[in-house]
Amino acid sequence: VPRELRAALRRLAESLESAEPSAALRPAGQRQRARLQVQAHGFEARTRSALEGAFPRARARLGDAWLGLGTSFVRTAKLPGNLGLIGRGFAEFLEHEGVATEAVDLARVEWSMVASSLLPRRAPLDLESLARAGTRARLAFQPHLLVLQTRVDVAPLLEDPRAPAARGCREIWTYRQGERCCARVPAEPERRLHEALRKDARLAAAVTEVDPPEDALSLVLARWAAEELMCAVPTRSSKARRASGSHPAR
Amino acid sequence: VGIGVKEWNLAALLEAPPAVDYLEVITEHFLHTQGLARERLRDVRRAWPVHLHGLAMNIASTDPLDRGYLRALGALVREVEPFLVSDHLSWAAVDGRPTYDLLPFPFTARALRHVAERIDAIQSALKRAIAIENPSTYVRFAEDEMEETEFLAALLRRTGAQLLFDVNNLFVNAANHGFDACAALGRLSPASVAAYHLAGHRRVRGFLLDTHDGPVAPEVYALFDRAVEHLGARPTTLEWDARIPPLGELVAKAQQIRPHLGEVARAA
Repeated sequence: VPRELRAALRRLAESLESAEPSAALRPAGQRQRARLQVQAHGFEARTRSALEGAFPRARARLGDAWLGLGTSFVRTAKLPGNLGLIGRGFAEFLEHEGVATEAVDLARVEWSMVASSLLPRRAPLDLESLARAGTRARLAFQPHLLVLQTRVDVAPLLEDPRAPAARGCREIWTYRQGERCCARVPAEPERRLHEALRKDARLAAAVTEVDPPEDALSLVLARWAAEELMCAVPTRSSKARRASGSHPAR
Repeated sequence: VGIGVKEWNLAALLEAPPAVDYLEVITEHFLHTQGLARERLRDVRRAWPVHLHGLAMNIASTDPLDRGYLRALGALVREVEPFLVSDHLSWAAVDGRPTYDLLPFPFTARALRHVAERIDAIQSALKRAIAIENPSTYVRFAEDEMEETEFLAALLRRTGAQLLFDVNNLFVNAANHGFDACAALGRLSPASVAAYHLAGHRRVRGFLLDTHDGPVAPEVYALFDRAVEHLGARPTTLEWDARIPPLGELVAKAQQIRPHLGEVARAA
């Protein structure tokens, strides 16, 4: 690597950061300063807009503190090359900065929604297919369904304050639904069934372990089918195909 | 004639398909994901040819080439089969720190060798030629040994890469750095040009800023006419990234490009 080229790039990066004219650049003086300032403003505007786009609710919650925290994050974090992923690690940064746990959790929920949007969707399993499989049914969940354990009660973290959320519940699911991503709190039977199915994909085994009332089981399966959250257990060959392809950014 | 589109309006395009010949999308929006954006890109690709235009290949940087980026881009290229893959003659990170901007570097013989080697490596990794766009710049280096298009022409000759000729960027640079855009254009060879970009700019604090937030200026169209005369008609994208008008209006603006290419304008 030509050392003088690296030095030239570093000099320009430093000049952009300080907006101080450099003898190595043209035009000279105030004309250079004006151009550096405009270009440096572009960096701030792009990073700020990308962060605000990913965390609209955390931004609203943090109020006046948002600007300083966002600027500090951009200056100190290891940033990804892709501006769309700039929010990766932002919630952890907020936690490290001593921000209130509720705002940190809000940022974690918002980033989980972004992460869900980046994950693939498999062909959903409908209730008819499930009924045909009977007791042999094996269930997996869409790769884009992410389960987040929060540190505060979930109620204040939900976009819709009227959404049902049991007191003390600290789990949120984010997933893709049509053209958007959403976050919701799982009801207790579905949370337990989901957990059991993650351990053992056999529906019969999960039902035995959780032992939900029959009507609750029907409601859960109907909801999962309506939200297209269930899919077939991936076969070994489809897993291998995925492993050789692109990996989702998480 | 094509239009540059954002990831978030791909679904809208599918609902009301605009009368354009192709779409240009930002590569990075579709890398490292198999999610919603990638699904929409697959849908869009069934309806239009696609040009993948990147911002983060970091062609002129002194940092190591990002092999993970190139692998992901290779996979995307195999899936989408774009008619053009391009990025900028600029750098976007140094010492691992991204700038989220397309920044200039000195036009020297050493830099030419360095950038040519990187383009060779990129083209080998992708197993295809790429197109390089001339970016807009606001400062230049005292150590420059050649003019922009002189550097570009030598680079394209050496690497076999093609030129994505942004006519607005050449106009902006000529105004900002005080050179003759027509003379600069004359250094380019018709065989090297793959496509054109057109966009709007603004005058800000005494210089021209490549803003992509308005219509193409008449002076840029005049330079485009000279380019088409000298270099030939090529696929031409209207870039509009901020203050974006409604889709119908954007497409109507894109249609205004056709007569400049010697084509009959189609109704939007």
